[in-house]
Amino acid sequence: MLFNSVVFVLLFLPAVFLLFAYVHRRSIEASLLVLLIASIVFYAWWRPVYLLLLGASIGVNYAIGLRLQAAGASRGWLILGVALNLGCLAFFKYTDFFIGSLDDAFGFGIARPEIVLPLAISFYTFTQIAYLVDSWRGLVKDARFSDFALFVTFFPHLIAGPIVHHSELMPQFRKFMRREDLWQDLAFGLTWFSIGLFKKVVIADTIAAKIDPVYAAAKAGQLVTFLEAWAACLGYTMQLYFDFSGYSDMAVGLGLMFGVKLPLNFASPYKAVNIVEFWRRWHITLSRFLREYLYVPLGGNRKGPVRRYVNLMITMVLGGLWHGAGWTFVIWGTLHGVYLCLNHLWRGIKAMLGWRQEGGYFARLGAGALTFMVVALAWVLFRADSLASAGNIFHGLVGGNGVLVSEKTGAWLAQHGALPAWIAVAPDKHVGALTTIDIFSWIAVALALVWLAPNTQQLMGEDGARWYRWKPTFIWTSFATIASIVPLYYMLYLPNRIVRFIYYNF
Amino acid sequence: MHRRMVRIVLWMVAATVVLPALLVLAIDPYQVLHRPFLRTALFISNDRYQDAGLIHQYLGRGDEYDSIVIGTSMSEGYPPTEIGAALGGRSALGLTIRGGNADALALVAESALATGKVRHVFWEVYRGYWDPLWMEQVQMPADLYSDSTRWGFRHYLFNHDAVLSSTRIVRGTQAGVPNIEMLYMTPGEFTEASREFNSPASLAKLRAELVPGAPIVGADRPTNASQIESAIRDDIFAVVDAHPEARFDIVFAPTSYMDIARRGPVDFARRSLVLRLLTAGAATRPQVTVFAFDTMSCIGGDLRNFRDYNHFSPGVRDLIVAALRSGSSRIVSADLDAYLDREGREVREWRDRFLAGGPGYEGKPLACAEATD
Repeated sequence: MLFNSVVFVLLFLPAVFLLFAYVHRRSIEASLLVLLIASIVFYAWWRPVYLLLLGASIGVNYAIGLRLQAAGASRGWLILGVALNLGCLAFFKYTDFFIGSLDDAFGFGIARPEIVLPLAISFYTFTQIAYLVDSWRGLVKDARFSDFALFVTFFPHLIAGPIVHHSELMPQFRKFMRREDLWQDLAFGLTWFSIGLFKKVVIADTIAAKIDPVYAAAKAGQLVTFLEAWAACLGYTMQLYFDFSGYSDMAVGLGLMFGVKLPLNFASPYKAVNIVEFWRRWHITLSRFLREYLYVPLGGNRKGPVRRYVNLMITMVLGGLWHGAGWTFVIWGTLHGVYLCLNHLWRGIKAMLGWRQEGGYFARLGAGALTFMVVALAWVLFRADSLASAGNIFHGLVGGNGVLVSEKTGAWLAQHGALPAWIAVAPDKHVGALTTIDIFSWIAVALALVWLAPNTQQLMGEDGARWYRWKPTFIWTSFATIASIVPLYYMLYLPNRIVRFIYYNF
Repeated sequence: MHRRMVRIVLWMVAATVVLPALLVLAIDPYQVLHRPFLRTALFISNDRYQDAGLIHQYLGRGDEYDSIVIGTSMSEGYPPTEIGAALGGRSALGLTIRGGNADALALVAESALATGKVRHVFWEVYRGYWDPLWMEQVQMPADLYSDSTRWGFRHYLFNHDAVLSSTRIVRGTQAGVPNIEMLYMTPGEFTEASREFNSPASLAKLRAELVPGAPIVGADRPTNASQIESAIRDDIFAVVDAHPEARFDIVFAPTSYMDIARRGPVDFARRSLVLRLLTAGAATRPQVTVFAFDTMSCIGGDLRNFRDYNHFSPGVRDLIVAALRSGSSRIVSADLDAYLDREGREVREWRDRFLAGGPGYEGKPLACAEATD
C-alpha cells in the first residue's frame, strides 16, 4: 500500500487510527496487536505471499536474538544470523545482477531467474542485523516477541525507512497508555504527514512526469541535448529529495499520530557545504547504520589514514550496492566514496597548512554550490537505467549532443541576432523529450525551497523555537489544510499521476 | 485548540473528497449519468467521454437512433440522417474516437450494441488502428463503457477533466454544440487545411518524401501480422458474432496514394492483410459487407481530396454514403487479388506522375466517381 494512495489516506489510516484511539488507553497489548495487524495488512496489500518471508525473517531473527542475549552466547549465532539475513537479501536482490554480470563478462548463456524483489527487504534486513549485533553486544534486554515484531513491521517505517534502531522504537511501545493528549499528537502528526504528502504528490511527481521522458529517451538511445540533460540532472536531484524526504515526513507524521517518534531522515541536505556534511543530512538513518555497523567495525579512522580511505570506499560501494543491484549503483557509491576521500584529504591539507576549516561566507557559498553540483551529477548514475544512458546524459550536459531550444526561445534569440548555427530550434513546443520547457520553473521553485526555506523539522519546531514554529493557530490550520487538500485532490481526481516512491524499489 | 485544528483539516479534506464529485454528479457535463436538468443541453467534443453519454442517454433511452458510426476522426461528420438512410435505418449516431485503436472502437461498439437499439453499424477500419505504439497513447475511460454497474462511474465522478468541464458549464465558458447533429463537425476546417496541404511548398516537401522507382508492393507477411489478426478477430468479428440482430457495413477508409506510396511495401502488405481478413470474415457472415475505395484513383490519387495524408473531404464522405446506398465499391474475397494488383499499379503510376512534376490528378475532383454513378 502506498502512503500516497487514496485507499491508504481515506480508508486504511482512518480505520487504524480509530481502532487504536479506542484501545490505546485500555490495553497495551491490544494497542500493539492493532498496530501489528494493521502493519501486516499494509504489507500484504502488495503481495501476500511475501508475508511468509517477512514472518520467517522475524521469527528466525527473534530466536537468534534470544540466543545472543543469553549469558555466554556463542559468536557463531551472530555470524549465522547476519549470514542468513545477508544471504536472503543477496538471493532476492543480487542473484539476477551477479548472474547477468557473469554472463555479460564470459558469455555463459545462463538463463536469468525471474526473482521478484520482496518489498522492504533491504530495510527490514538492516534493522534486524542491527538488532542482532546489539544483542551480541549486550545492548538488548528482555525483548518481547510482540514488541520485536512490531518494531520490524511498524507500517510507517516498514517499506522505505527511516531505518529504525530497536533502542529508539521498542521502549516507546510500552508508553502508549501514558499519552497525554491524543488530539495534540494527531494535529501535530497530521500536519507533518501533510507536508510530506504535498512534497511527494505535488512537487516530486510533477517534476517526475516532466523528466521521465528524457531518461526514457536516453534509454532508447536517442541523443539527449544540452537543455534536456540539465533538466534531467537537476530535475531528478529535486525529485529524489522531495520524493524521499516527503516519504520520510509522512512516516514521521504517521508515527506521531500513534504516539511513536521515528528518527529524522533528512536535514536540508542540499544546504551542505561539503560531502561529509551532505551525508550527515541525507538519509541520516542509513548513514548512521553504515557508520555504526560497517565503517566502525571495519576500523573506521582508528587505523591510520590509508585504512580510513579504504574503509570509506568499502562502506560507500556497499552502500551504493544496497540501493540497487546494478553497475550504475556501484559506480554511484564508488563516486561518493571518492568524494568523501577527497573531502577528508582536503581537510588534512588545510590542517597541514594551518588554514581555517570553516571558510568565510563566499567560501561557504562556493563550497555549497560545488557540493550540490557533484551530488547532482552523481544522481544521474543513480537514476539512469544503464551506464550507456548515463553516459548519454553526461555527454548532453557538456553540450556534446548539441543544443536544442524551444521555438519561442529560438524566435527570441533570432530576433536579437543571437542564434548561432550550433543552436537548433525545436519545430514545435516539444524540446526533444521535454514536452515543455517549464520544467526549469519547477526546478527553480524547488531549489528556492531547498536552499531558502526551513525544512520540515524546523517548521515543526523540532530543533529549537522559531517564530514560525508549529502551533495550532489559524495560520497553521490553513497551512495544514492546503497541504492536505491539494495533494488529496491530485490523488483523487488525477489518479494517473500516482507514482510509487523511489525508495520502494530498494 | 488541537481538536479544533484537526476537525477543520478533516472537514476540509472531506469537502475536497466530496464536493467536486457532487458537482460532476449534478452537472454531468458529458451526460453520462443523466440528461441535463436546469440547464440547456451542451455536447462537448471530448469524444472519449462524450460518446459514453450519447450511448447511455440518447441511444439507450430513446428511439431516435437505430444506427451507429464507429470509427476514428476519419469518420467524423457524417450527416446522421443521410448515413442512417444509407445504412437502411433511421438516423445514425456518430460514436467516433479520434485516434481510436481497435480496443477503443470495440469498446464503444459493444457498449452501443448492448443497448439493444442498434440495427445497423457503419464500422470504419483505418490502416493504422492496430499500431502498437499508437495503442499505448489511447486513453479511454473504459469503465464508462464496459462496467454495467454504477460503481464503474466513480472514475467519472472523481475526474479532473469532468470537474473542469462542470465548472466551465456553471460559469458558461464551456465550448460545445447544442445538438448531437453538430457534434464532431468542424465546418470550414477542411478547406483551409487542404489548401495548406496542397500549397506549392507542401507539395515540394511531399515529393521529397518519395523515392523514384522504389517498390510499392512486394513484402510478404507484415511484421505485426499477429496483432492485426487478433484486432480483426477479437475487436471486430467477435463483436459482430455477439450481435446477430445488427447489420455491419465495414468501410476500409480510403487514404491518399501519397500515404501508400511513402509507406512502401511493408505497409501495403498490412493493408492487404486487413482486407484479406475482413473479406474472409464477411464471406461466412451474411450480415457483414466490406467496402473499399483504394482503386478509385480520383479519390486517393487527388491530393485536393485530403487535408493531410489520410483525412478526406466532405465530397469523399458523400461518395462513401452513396456507395453504401448503392452497394458499389463492395469487395469480396474472390475479387481481392485483382483489387490489390490494381491498387498497387494505380499508386505506382500516380507516384511517377507526381514525381515528374504534375499534380497527380486530372480534371475536377472525384470525376471518376461521377462517371461510375
